[in-house]
Amino acid sequence: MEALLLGLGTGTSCLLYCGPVIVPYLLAEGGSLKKSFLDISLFLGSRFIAYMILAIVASLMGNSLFTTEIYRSILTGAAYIILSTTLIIYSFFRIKHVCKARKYSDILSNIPYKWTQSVPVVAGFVTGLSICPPLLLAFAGAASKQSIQDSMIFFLFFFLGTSVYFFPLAFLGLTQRKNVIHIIGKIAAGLAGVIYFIKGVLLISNIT
Amino acid sequence: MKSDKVKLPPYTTAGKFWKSLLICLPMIFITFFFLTGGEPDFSDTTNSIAFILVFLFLNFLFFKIIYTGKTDKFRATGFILFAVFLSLVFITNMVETREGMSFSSADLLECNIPFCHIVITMILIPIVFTNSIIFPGSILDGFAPVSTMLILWILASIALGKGFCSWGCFYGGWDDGFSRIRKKPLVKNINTIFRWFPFAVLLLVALSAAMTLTPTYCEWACPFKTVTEFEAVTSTETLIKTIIFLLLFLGLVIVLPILTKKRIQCGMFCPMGALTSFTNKVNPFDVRIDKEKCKDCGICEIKCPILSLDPTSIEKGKTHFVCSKCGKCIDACPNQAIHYHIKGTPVNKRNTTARTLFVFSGFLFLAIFSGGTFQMGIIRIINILTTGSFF
Ligand code: SF4
Ligand code: SF4
Repeated sequence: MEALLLGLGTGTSCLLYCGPVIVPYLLAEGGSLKKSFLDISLFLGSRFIAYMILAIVASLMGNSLFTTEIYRSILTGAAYIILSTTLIIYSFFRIKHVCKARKYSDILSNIPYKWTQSVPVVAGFVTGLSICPPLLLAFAGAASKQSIQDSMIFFLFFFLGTSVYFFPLAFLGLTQRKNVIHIIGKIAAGLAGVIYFIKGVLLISNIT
Repeated sequence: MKSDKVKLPPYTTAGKFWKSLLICLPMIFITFFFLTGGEPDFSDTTNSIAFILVFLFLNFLFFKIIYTGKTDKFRATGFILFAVFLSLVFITNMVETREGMSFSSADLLECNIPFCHIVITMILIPIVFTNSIIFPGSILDGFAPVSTMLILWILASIALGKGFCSWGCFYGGWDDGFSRIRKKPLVKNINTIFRWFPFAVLLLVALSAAMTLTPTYCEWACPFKTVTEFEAVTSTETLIKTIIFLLLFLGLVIVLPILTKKRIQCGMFCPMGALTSFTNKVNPFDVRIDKEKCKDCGICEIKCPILSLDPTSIEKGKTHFVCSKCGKCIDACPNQAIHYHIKGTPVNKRNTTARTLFVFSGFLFLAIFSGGTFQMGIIRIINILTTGSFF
């Protein structure tokens, strides 16, 4: 119950943290409500896996993990760089609009379209592992549990509490003027990729 | 049905000296009031010289806009000089009060950072979610307080729509100026997809500011930090930020505008430009094309500095909703087919009233925003010439 309330209470903040990653993707993909729900489910599903890993680690290592330099800098930094690469490649994937970019787009278009489904999966996993204030609270809560099962249950309820805020995002895919929104979403995904790349490099070089 | 030879109607008050002067009278009174603060005091020579020069300069520009029927050249003269003078005054202010262009962590903590209108793109979501303004500037007092800037921006948006970006913005004059340096562009046919870039930047800036509760664009991506103020370089992170500011200014404000003759920063990057585009929807003025007169020559499309015209929009007789109402296309059209227009009135008619009302509103904002800055700049220039010091 405590975890569910924590999730519900901090869910909006979670939404804001993951927004820059998932919102451009949903806008760019557009599509039906069903497709958007599927994308969000993939995002949340992989985030859930990340949480379960964290639950196990929390119960094995206690609260100290988040304070270790390795986790804060290297792992999170590397995760950001993987995410940024995914977003940048996605932004160039099958663009028909910009002549110069089409060259790269053509190379990428040999990759099956299904590939784009991995964007929410990677994004969900990486954002699930990255440190944000709600996750820090959840981690502390899970670390205080006696067993791995309790810790996992704690994270499960935290996940459920935060997830309810994500599903309304599915309606973003239904916006009018699909072509324009698709373009803006793709550009935003690429720019978000650049931002996460810089963040990742800064973290790894332990600047921030 | 297009006729081969179009008889050009007299536009506005072009060539009519006394009528133009009469139209300029309200501007003359208003600028006098604003520049003197309602209390004329000519006891100080330097201040008086600054006042007279600025008063004459602003009213000369407005008179030329009315008298010649040409908008862009005179608007741009005031707009570009405003940007340059703002940086001059800002930097010299910083040197006077903080002995340099950088601010310290103490200034941040004490909320001593002047508020700039671009920050509006970042404060809206946090205001809704947290009821707080995520900017280290003062709300009510000091130099450029948050409340004054918000009110001015709202007023300018209602009156001008995105015209704010060509008549009121403090920085737009920089890339407007650099985009005019070459006679012909070296890079042509820029894809209109780039007009959507600012909207993507806006989306990210708004989300990331909401996520971190910090003005992320100001901290990481504002090219104009280069010509105003920036965080003191005390760490590798601040060094990287400073390098980003310099590179963005060099690329988006200087090099690309020179090469393309487009306002790259304003039309293809600035999140404030994107946000302000939406105000074009509620603003009474727009720019329309008279399809009877248009010969589809495409000159307006080439001239538009922010990709607001393309064959589709010309075909529809409208500018795109990102139009900043600069008037460049209106002046350039050889067939006088483009005109300022008041929504809801007939389109196929060059409407003198619509133009006069719009250029009056636009120029009024330019004069009010820039007047004090011009005066202060001139005082600083006189000081440096006569005493060797700005102060
Ligand atoms: S410059 Fe004038 S005539 Fe030429 S396409 Fe534009 S509106 Fe038509
Ligand atoms: S369409 Fe005309 S008025 Fe609008 S921004 Fe372009 S040149 Fe300026």
